[in-house]
Amino acid sequence: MKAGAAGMKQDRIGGVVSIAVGAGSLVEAAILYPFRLNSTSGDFVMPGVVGALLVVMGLLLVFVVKTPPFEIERPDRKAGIQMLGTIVILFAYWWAISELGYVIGTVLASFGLFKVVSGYGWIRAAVYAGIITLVLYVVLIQLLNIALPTGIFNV
Amino acid sequence: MRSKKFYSSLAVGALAVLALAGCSGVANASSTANAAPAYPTRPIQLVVPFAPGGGTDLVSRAVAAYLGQKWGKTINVVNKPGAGGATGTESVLTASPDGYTVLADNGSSTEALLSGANKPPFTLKDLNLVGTVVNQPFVFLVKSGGQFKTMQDLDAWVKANPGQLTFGSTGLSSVQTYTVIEWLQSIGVDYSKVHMVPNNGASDLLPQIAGGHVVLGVQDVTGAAGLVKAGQLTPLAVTSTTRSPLFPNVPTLAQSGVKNVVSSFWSGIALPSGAPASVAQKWGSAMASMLKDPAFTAKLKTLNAQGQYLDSAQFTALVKNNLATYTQLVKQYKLGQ
Amino acid sequence: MNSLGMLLGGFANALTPANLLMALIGVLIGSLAGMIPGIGPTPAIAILMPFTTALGPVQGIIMLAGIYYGAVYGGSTTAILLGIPAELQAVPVTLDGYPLAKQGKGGPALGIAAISSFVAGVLGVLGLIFFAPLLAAQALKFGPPEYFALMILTLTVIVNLSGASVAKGLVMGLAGYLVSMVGVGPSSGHARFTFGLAPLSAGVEMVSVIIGLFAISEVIIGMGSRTPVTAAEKIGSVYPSRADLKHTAPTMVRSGLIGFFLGLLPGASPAVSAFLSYDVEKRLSKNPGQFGKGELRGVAAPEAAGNATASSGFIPLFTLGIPSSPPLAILLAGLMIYGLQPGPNLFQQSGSFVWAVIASMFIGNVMLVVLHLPLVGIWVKLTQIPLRVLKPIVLILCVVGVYTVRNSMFDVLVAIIFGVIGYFLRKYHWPLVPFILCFMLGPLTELSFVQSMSISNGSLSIFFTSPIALVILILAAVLFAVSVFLMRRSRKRALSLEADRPDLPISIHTN
Repeated sequence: MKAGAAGMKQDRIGGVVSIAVGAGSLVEAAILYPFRLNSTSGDFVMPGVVGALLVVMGLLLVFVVKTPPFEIERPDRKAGIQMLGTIVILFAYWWAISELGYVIGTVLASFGLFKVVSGYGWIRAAVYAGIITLVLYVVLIQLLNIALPTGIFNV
Repeated sequence: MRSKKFYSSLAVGALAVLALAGCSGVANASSTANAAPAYPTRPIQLVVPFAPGGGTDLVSRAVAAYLGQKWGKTINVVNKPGAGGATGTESVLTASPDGYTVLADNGSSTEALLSGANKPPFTLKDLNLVGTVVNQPFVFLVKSGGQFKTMQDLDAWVKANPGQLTFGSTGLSSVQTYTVIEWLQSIGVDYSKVHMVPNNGASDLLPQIAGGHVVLGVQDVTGAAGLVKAGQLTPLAVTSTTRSPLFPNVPTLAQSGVKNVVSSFWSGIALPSGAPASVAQKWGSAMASMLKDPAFTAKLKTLNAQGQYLDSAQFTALVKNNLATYTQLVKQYKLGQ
Repeated sequence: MNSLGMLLGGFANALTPANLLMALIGVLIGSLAGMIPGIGPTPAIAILMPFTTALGPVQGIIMLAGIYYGAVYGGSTTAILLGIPAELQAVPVTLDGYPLAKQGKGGPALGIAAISSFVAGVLGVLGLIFFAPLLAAQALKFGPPEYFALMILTLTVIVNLSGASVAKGLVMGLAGYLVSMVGVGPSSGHARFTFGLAPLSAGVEMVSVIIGLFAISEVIIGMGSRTPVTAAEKIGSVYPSRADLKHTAPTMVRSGLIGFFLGLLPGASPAVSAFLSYDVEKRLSKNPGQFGKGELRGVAAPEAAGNATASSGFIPLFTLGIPSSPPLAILLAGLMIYGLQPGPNLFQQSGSFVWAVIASMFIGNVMLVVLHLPLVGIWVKLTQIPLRVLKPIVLILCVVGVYTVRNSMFDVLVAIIFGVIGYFLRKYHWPLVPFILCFMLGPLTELSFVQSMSISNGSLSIFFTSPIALVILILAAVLFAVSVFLMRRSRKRALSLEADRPDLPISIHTN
């Protein structure tokens, strides 16, 4: 819940990440160099230029540039649980669509989200989940004929 | 208390699911008693491994509309673009081979893709090539009003100035590049001296040629038709053995003195090799009669596409033959990845 | 004037009840679809096209054009009221539209957006009528070096869109380029940055990134914020005051013109012109500090430019058959399904059809204004569902919206991952807009560079021997210098910014 002034330190960490990513890009450029069209052109140019600039910018952020400070709001416990829950449900939703099919996945995910995000009770969340799934089913699958994954139960 | 609520909500959810399942199940009731199982009994997915709007996509949509009506079941065109067609093709190969996931493919997602890749994501053996819908030549295109009026003009200029030839192509391992290489071989010009200008496809390439930024483009007749009719591009020759009905005034390469260079752009239908033979036969015979139907051929004509049905055997032979030739070219000119 | 007579004929044709109904349905469906995060104009048209083929050609195309306009505009409603850009073009609109909505001025913002769209749309259609074939020929003068120069020009926008720290903005821009390179390289066909993962070879889908960074992370961060993000309860009157109109009128015209001319160039999408015009307005403004905090011009500029580009994009489409953006590519497909071959001959061969469609664009623009000004309450109601209910629905719609673009579950995963990344980026004040801008421009920048190098046989001089490219590059350098100068003067953080001056745009074209 505490909000503290921050910036420089976090931005320096960002600079380090930038250097690492830039170095990775330079490695990729080196791998791509044999597939060039000519010495100034080919798939290696852009990774090389972008990688080099990322390294330069990263170094500047770490050693030279003073970035403006900013406030970081830390979420309280309740909000933290909500956020984490949402992220977990989204990943689970992704898995469920592929494995159980769009319809079942949407029932489960929207139920979970109404529970976690909206904070509704079991019944209300279930009813809302049923409604949104039904509406989406009619609109997407019945009216628009969008082919969505059906999963192991074929629904 | 809590768990009671939970179970009741589960029941609600389950009911909803059952109701939905029921909805989709109703349509399955009718069937005919034949030796082969009835097909199709539910909607079919026709996967197009390219973005919407391209030649193969348009042809596939025409096929889906025609056969969907004929069979009384919806055929959904599903675009799964990416990685030169590999993404969509793989999605068909990993789906259940029940005949309800069908692939619309063309030369770039098969011959070009497989010839260029060191580690191809799939092989021809994974596919049952059912038949072609379109089989049409490429056209050699240059800017209108420029110095080239005929293929002979271009040949002479390239022989004299190989270093000045730029040609547009979707990449090193594409049928367009292969066709250009074969042409250069035929007229005795060193491929390493000319310059390939990579592009995203017809809508990128054609304005570059019409604007004089790139000298030569090799494009299939469908893509070329618009700007040729608009007078912005001049077609010099087609890459088939006979003239194209879409461009009756344009000679073939052979007629222009370029021997032994033949290539074509085809779009066809394929199934995963594990799909039932009866399904493949059903598609094959339906496509054969579809291409004899004047209503469908008229539709193809409006798309500037040249329809031709090759049955599974002819189709497979064509692709195998092309693949062998192109793999050889890739080796010789080190075009692979 | 012959065009005028033909246009009147077109109006007679388009004003039949059946055709009007089609335009209405199209605009309505498009507006609704456009409001859903992820379902921008491209998926909307692609999904709905099969249904229009059941109609005749005139009605079908009128409806498709209506869907296109509607979706473009519907996107701005969500962008302004919820701060969620449904697609790329709506990103700059959120910059000022959302702050306005939070201040209770969502109404005027929506009103100005609708009027700007209308003005620019009409401008675009007028251009289409009178100059189409003439302008189409000019567009062909743009080859690879000219496009590359144009991309560099667009890059200078980053300096102005970076927020507090230009250095962090530049790092984000570079990161955007990096992500745009994932997939098969333009010349060799060799996969890059795929880490051996097959789905990555198809590249990272732009819609996944936008939805992840802007929609999913917006919902997540809203939970932890002590000042909760609210869908504006009060939006105020949608009819802007006379002073507001006077204030934004020059912006509408300027941005409309920018958008119009960019729309002639294949590859310059409405998103590019929306970003560029926003930047131009910010540079021209007497108090640029107001931008990003709720400046009406910041709403008018991208809205006008985007819509003008959408309209003038029909010029290369009709006269050359070149679609300048993905939704137009699908419209082209629609034309071809009806057997209409775009090209200069289209006006001769199918004149009555073309003019009916052009007239319907006028009508469609009028309908948009009608639907979105007096009826704005209905649209606002849709976004005023309590956030508690809205958040889960937005998340569920994001997933299906992302899926429908390429029918790929992998893209859904990418969107969720970018949602999480976006949360941390926002938390630590790394600006998202430079990232998305470079991500969008990356492929065309690289391709036009590689193409130029192939044409020039590896010589960089090609960028200076083409007069158009040279002029654009000089303009880019001037703009860059001016914005750096302005920033030094207007901000007291000059010291901290000094080090990162000789950076991105210049060094790219000397490499």
